[in-house]
Amino acid sequence: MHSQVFHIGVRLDGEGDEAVRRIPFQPGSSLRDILNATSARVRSGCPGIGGCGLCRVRVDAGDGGAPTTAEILHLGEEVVAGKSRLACQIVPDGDMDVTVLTPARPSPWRVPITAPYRAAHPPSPGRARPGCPWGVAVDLGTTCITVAMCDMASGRCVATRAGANPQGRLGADVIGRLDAAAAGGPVRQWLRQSVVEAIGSALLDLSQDEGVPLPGVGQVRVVGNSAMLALLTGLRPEALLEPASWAAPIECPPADAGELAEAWDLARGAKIEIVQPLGGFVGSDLLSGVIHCRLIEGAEPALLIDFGTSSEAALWDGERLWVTAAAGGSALEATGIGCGMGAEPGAIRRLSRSRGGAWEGEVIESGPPRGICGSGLVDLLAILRAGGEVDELGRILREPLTISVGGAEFTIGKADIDKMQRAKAAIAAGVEVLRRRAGLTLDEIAVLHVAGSLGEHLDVEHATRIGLVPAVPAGRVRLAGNTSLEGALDLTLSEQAEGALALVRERAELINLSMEEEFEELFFDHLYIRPAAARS
Amino acid sequence: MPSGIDSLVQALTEGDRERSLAVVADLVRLEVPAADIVTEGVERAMAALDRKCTAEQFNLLEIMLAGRAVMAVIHRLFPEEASLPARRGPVVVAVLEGDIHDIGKAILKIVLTGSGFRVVDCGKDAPLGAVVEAAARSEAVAVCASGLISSVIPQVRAMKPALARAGLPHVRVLAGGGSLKQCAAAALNVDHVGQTAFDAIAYLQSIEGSHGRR
Repeated sequence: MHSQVFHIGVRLDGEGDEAVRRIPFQPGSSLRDILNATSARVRSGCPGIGGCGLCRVRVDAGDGGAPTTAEILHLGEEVVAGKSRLACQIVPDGDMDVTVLTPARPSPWRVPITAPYRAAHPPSPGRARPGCPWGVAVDLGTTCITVAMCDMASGRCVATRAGANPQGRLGADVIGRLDAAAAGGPVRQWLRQSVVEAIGSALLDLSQDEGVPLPGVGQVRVVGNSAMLALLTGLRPEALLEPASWAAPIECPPADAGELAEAWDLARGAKIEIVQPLGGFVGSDLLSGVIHCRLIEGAEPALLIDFGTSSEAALWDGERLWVTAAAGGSALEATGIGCGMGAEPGAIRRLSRSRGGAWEGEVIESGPPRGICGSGLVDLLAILRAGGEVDELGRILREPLTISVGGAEFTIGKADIDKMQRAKAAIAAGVEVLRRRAGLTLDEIAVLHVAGSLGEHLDVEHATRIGLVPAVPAGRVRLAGNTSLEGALDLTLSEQAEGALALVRERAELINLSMEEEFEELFFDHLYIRPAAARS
Repeated sequence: MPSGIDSLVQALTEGDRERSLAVVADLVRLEVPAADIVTEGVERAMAALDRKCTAEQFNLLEIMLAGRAVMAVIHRLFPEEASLPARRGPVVVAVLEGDIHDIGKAILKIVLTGSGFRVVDCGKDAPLGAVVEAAARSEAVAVCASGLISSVIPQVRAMKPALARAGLPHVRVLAGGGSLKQCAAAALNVDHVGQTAFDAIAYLQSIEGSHGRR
């Protein structure tokens, strides 16, 4: 069955034509769900079942179908007069233009656009505490916090929210925050408190919009990188700053479930578990990704690369799981890149250039582009390299390098390319170290899962061309999305997932790249902008 | 031979190791003294790199390529490091205890060597005591401490007092690297904070007269 792509042209009440956003969609979702994954969110207070009557829109063009009973109940004459409809009751199957009459209150929490969650391990309904049918998974990332709420009995993910980690105020990278915490006192407390509050705020946002009461949440799992979990649980930050700890297991103190349950307004006896990191800078976010991808379940070698502010990789050779973390800087999240921005409305997430030289960009939520996000930057570098404007050393052969996309101009400089080279060299070199330790050739890797910030829209061919991902045979690469969060949902819902995690810990071999002699040479080698063919 | 030296300077600046070694082979065949090749060729290349770094923003790969070309030439001319005619320094370089990131130190060492300094390398994760001892043993004029993570800051601050206790109050202390270069010299209790390897060289050259040769 093939689905055509249609568009909703949406504006907020009072906005003129120039503010219209064109949202692509495939039939099957309600108008509310389509809109709520964008910046034009509509107000809501129930899980889209016509129960609250808050999600009011006006259909300006296109077919909204016949009003439902719920709409007549809530809107009465207005719906009859064509003045308003409930977005959750409309399932568009063609182009439409709508005006949002009751926009959602401004919120720092957005609904990430992802493929629907599919549990990798069967849910264990017995886990739900009496009177608490809901569970929550938290992915505590350095740049972004994501929370998801799930139905413990069915394993269905009800809703997800993502937003900025407030600690970013103290620095984009992990070391800076650990340093600040090591200075002690109020800063360290603030680092912890700000994250606890942020998670609470995300949960509240989600609960209000979906009409799910927070005291109905009885199970919570939190995954994150080691530094984030250390800051949350009060583990002394010096522990992570000492080189001796970078290959050793990390033991975070258990969460004070009572305190957190109260802070987040959850069920009184809710079980709140911080999933322990593996060790060094490899956190439980990578581990949850491994169990969600079911990486170690087969005999065949498989590789998972989780791109982010710090990137991690896990390589299964059939017996052991080789794992490492590589700090290359956050250029791949477009931080510190002049024309870069996060994957938000207005970001160019895919770029192409026609034979005639005209650039075309796919913009998140269409409209005028404001910047280029990580996956777009990968496209940009690959295309410039192929076109000869940038050489394999990263030098710009014809300066200045300005491109025109969608009516806007973007300039890329040598320093920007340098940052991208360093980011990719770190993770590519890390992956190669794992590969050598496992004694595997690239051909032997049966599947490569690409996860993290680049895990949704990456052009694999471009990524391979610049050496960001290793050149495994085409067709073996899978864009896996936010595996950390989905693995955390698995852990919240499923006993089997917990068992899988225990096995992963047993089989894992943590490689500390800063102690690997060959790392520097490999890092140098991978700075070149060229495919990362194995050299041994 | 001026034109040969010029092409060496160019090859080094471009990070072309093969061409640099080929030119050096020619110069050696023409009986140009090794020491002259270093002072005329390599040191001029260092100065040219310095200008390029400031003006054009050399990327990390280019810096590493140039550094490797320089080291290749130096090792070809002086297989025994001890025989290298270093007129300046000695300078101790170290990545202090608790920090093992040493790309910065490696570049600094290459640039110092290429500029005629004798370098004593204490390696990474180096305890303060070992650095002071190396400074004493080599009669160093300066110590360069490189730090990526700010947890080494307390040790950087302790460097001058430790040197003074060892009877070396005249030894200058420079700091550089990720976390250190953001700080003021006074806050770190050092004599100079270097933004780049070339910045460090400029400072060391400026104090040369005041310290005197060995």
